Amino acid sequence: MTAKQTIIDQAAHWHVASMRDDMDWDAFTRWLEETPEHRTRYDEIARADAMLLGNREALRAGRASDQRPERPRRWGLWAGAGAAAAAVLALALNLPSGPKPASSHYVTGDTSRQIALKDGSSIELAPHSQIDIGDMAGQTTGQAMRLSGGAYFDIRHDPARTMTIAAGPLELRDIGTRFDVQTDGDSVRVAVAQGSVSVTAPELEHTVPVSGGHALVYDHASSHAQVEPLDQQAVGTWRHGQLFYDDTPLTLVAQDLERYGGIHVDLPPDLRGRRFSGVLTVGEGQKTARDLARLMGLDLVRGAGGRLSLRQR
Amino acid sequence: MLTDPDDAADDMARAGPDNGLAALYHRHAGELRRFLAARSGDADLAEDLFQDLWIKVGARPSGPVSDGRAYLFRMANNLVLDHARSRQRGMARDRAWIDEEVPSSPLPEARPDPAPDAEAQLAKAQETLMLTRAMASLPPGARQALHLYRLEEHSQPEVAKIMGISLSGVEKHLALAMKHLRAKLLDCGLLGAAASEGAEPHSGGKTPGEQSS
Repeated sequence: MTAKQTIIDQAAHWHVASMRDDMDWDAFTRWLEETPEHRTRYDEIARADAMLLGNREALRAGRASDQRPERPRRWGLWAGAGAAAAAVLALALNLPSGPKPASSHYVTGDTSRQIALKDGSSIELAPHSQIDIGDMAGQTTGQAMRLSGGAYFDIRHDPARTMTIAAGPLELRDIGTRFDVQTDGDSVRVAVAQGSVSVTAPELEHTVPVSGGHALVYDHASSHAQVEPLDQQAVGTWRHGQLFYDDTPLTLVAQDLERYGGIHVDLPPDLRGRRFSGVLTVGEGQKTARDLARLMGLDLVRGAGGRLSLRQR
Repeated sequence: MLTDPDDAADDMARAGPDNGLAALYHRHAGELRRFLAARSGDADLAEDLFQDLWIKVGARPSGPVSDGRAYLFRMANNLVLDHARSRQRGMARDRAWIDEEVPSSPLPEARPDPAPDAEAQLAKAQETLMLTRAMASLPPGARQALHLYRLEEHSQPEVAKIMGISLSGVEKHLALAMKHLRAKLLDCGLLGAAASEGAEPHSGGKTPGEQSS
């Protein structure tokens, strides 16, 4: 344990003790006087706790929909090492899928587009995205889709029907009700507002169920899929100009800025592993990029040719 | 003739049930001031907060306090925390739209400030999301203890009883939870502003314990 860790441990214990009557305030005073760092670390702990208290109502409300204590679960998606697995994957994706039935191809530009399906289900295709919707070969009630970009699905659940959505290296099955999918081919995010979705991939040992109030984030760089709880109301909010993130790879955030905000922001290599949690509002030009920079404590700089990029302060 | 401070305090304590805290305030003035200075790292601020504490003592509705001295220290501790938080919010506003790195002229949408309500809502949503995530990633024991203590508002001994563990076990869980929250919030910049300003180890020299090497 480093010296800094020890100080943080001590600070946390002082803070927890400070709320009891048996707190030794004189000893705490002496501890604070030992070095200014003690005060700094204690202050961080106390402010973090104060923030928790300030959000108590919202956290209680969120908890009601997720009674079950839960740890984030991780699945190793790929059996092989990254490069080899990627090659296998590329092959799998290019395999012909039997006789091609009739299919529709939708592409969006700067605005999103509403697509109605025959059964009353609907898809809102995000800006700068495309989706192919085809009838599944050999089935009268099945549909197979392939998405690139983002889309919010509101699908009527029908156990008699088979529907699949290919999104990057993942395939979604057992689809019911409302969820959002974002993919750039490598990274995929499946956020479920209501109902559930099963996620499979060629190299995946087992199907990963994602239920309402959860998101699966697959990050190609780390070859991992992770399912985490999320606020159901945060699903698909891009349709109203808001982007919610919860520990999302910054690379995905940058793609969203391009897709939804029309802003291109370069990420230097040292920031590509970073993750972002927070809310961004799009539709006001580069302000969104400045918000992101501010929330992450980064600088937004304009380089040669007017390109915006983020960098460490 | 000088009055013995303890006698004066006892006089005040006897003057009425509501004056017990006032007496304790005077009796422990030295320790409270020293604590405020150590906790805030700023002697002038400590004096101001010491005065604020007096006002709080006067404004406090009557009622029993189980340990008046601890109560005063907790109030003092909260005054420093409130001050740090309001300073952090002020700095967050000041820093919100630092545009010197991005030339301002070609950006028609560069406005000095967004609507304050929208900004506050965003900040709140950001905090809630981050906290939800931080709590979800805690080890089960720490998460349960934190939930019972902070969201269901049980006391630490009550949490111990509910979880069937010792009080020190609860303290360990809660300390771990607090450490975890701190780390998560620092990671996403929510605690960054105040941590990097006004609290630097080498900024003051007002702390008596600072040693030269």
